[in-house]
Amino acid sequence: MKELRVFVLSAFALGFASAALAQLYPAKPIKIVIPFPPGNTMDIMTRLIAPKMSERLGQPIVAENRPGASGMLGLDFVAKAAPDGYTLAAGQGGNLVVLPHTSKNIPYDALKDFLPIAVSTTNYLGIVAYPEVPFKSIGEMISYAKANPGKLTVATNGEGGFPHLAFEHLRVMGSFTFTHVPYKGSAARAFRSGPTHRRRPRRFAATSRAAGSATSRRRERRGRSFSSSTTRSTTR
Amino acid sequence: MKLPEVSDKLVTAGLIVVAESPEYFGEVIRSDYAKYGKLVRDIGFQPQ
Repeated sequence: MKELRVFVLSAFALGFASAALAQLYPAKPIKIVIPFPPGNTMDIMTRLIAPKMSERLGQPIVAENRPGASGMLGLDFVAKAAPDGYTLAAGQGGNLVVLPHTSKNIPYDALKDFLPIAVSTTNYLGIVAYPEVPFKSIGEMISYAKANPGKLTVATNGEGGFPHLAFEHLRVMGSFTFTHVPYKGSAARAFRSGPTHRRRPRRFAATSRAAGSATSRRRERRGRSFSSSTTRSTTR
Repeated sequence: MKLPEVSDKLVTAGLIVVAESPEYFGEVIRSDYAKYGKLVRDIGFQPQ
């Protein structure tokens, strides 16, 4: 499987291009809108970086959570904010490059409404399974799915999300079938549904959560994990 | 991003730190936008 980029970034509304303005910038506090709830990876990342930005720029940096609609609400807020460089967004792959294609009602133009400032992090997509599954690699999993059409059950964090799309991509490349079980919200919820998975041991969870999270780490120890990528996702 | 006190924490969180230029970032957005657009069309995903 190809790596899954869930890159994290800051973007701000277009129009902040005046050289005179740039020389004075920043003349007042800067707001960074986090389109996700507290505790989300984006939230942690932004709150780690904000104090350092503040030190460097000499102005307070205010991080503000505006979650909703898979990250679209927060980005839309920034897209419609004054394009003066004082309202930034901590976007990521989902709301910038995936939702514009998978959502009918995208309220912003990801390519035109934002100016990229900095890319900060990427992470991996992982696939984990219970030890009972009769395969030990992605290749064997594909062979199993081909021999048992529809028997491979894959849990993800939602319809049209990164893990779902990545698995669909794998399906197309490997010419096999699977049954998708989308869970709303974080992939952690799919993980937590342990008893269900136990009864259906061939269920998978594809997660884009950071590999180091306690949930996935624990699950990987208990189950069998497949790394979806051994190359850094930023290698281009 | 390059400060150890920041990057170390991000690595601990399972993330890979990327400190690149705005131009690089813009290119990533454009190419990924195109990539996922093609993927969504290829798999026949209906926008929801």
